[in-house]
Amino acid sequence: MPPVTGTELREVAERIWGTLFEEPLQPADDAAEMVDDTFLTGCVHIEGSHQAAVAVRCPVGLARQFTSKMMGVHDPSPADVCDALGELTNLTAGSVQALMPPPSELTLPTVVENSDHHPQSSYQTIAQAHFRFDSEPLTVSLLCAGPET
Amino acid sequence: MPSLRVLIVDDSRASRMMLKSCLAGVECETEEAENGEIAVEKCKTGLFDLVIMDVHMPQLDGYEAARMIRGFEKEKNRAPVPMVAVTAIDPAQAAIKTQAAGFTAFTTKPVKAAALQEVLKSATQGKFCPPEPETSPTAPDGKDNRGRLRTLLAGFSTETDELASALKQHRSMFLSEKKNEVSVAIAAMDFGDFGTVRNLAYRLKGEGSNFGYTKISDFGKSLVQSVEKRDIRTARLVAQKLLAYLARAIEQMADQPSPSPVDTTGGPGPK
Repeated sequence: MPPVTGTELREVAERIWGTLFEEPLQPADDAAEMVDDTFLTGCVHIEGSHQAAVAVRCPVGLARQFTSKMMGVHDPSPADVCDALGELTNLTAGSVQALMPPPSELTLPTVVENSDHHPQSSYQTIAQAHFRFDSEPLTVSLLCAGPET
Repeated sequence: MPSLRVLIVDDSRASRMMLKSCLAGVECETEEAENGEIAVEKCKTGLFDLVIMDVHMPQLDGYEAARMIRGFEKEKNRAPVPMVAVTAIDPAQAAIKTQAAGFTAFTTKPVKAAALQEVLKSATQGKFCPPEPETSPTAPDGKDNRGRLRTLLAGFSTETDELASALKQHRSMFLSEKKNEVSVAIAAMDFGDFGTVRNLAYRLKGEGSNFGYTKISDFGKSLVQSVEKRDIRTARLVAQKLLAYLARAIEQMADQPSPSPVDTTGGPGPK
């Protein structure tokens, strides 16, 4: 059984976004196409009882929107956008960590552009939740190492 | 009352800005540090009334920085500054680590202004005075982000039906989740699984206030205390009272068009 289910992942993300932003995340059935858009992926590893990683992926435009709301600035710099998406990923990973058996440690967030960011080739996606925010797509994934996890 | 000097330490600029916005309306001067090293230096050279610090940072993390600040205070015979850890990590793990590092209190991210201000008030023994509700920063689109959320969470029906409905659903989900967790905790008690009970108790303690349910946090705190003492009888009693409180809160929420999250059920607190 996976350490965290897709439903739990969905609830975690809805709770975090609902706390930070006026507009709640709208659940979506599947991953939206981001082929024509530049997108960003934030990633934080959870190291401990499970070797896992949480990834948050969305178009740059949406990441900029989050940044504006979080920082209260009109025109965030690319560094600010990475910072804000990294922080959102960190918050998500922290809540996912709480659902997994202790002890474990979180790594610092990384943000990459235009990549299906799988932290390591041996990692498999074990839970995923797709959303829309202001009509833009957003996907939260939990990846784990090893066949059992 | 003189203005408080507050040091905000977080490697994320977005997080520092959100923490600052939580202090909107409070008579205070804020300084920022982007890692533990800078925080330690600032604490050595300046006097602060309060330090709010993330624990998860590069170079020098919040735990180590807190230890160094406490060491410096001891060496110089300075009064310990109240330090509040703000962290995204699992509350059950953070509680132990932050206490060991010398933090006065901790709260979990994402932080709500009201919850943070309650923690700060407690950590500074009342020196920090939360402002009256209403004040808030203005977002670039002219909308009043956090203030609007706070106003809604305080039960005022000044917002759109859509937003109120979403928040109601959000809180309802939280209450149901907590009710399930308490049932799990009671079952774990039957099996003598204190680890599970303890983890769930810490989560209740940390998350209740974040959602405006201070009573859930109080119950969680009592549960933590009884579990730490291996007092299964009290733990079970607290869990059962909490279960009843949650059932009433869920029932009231279903009946109310614009529910208030804060202790409207009037249930007795854990004794």
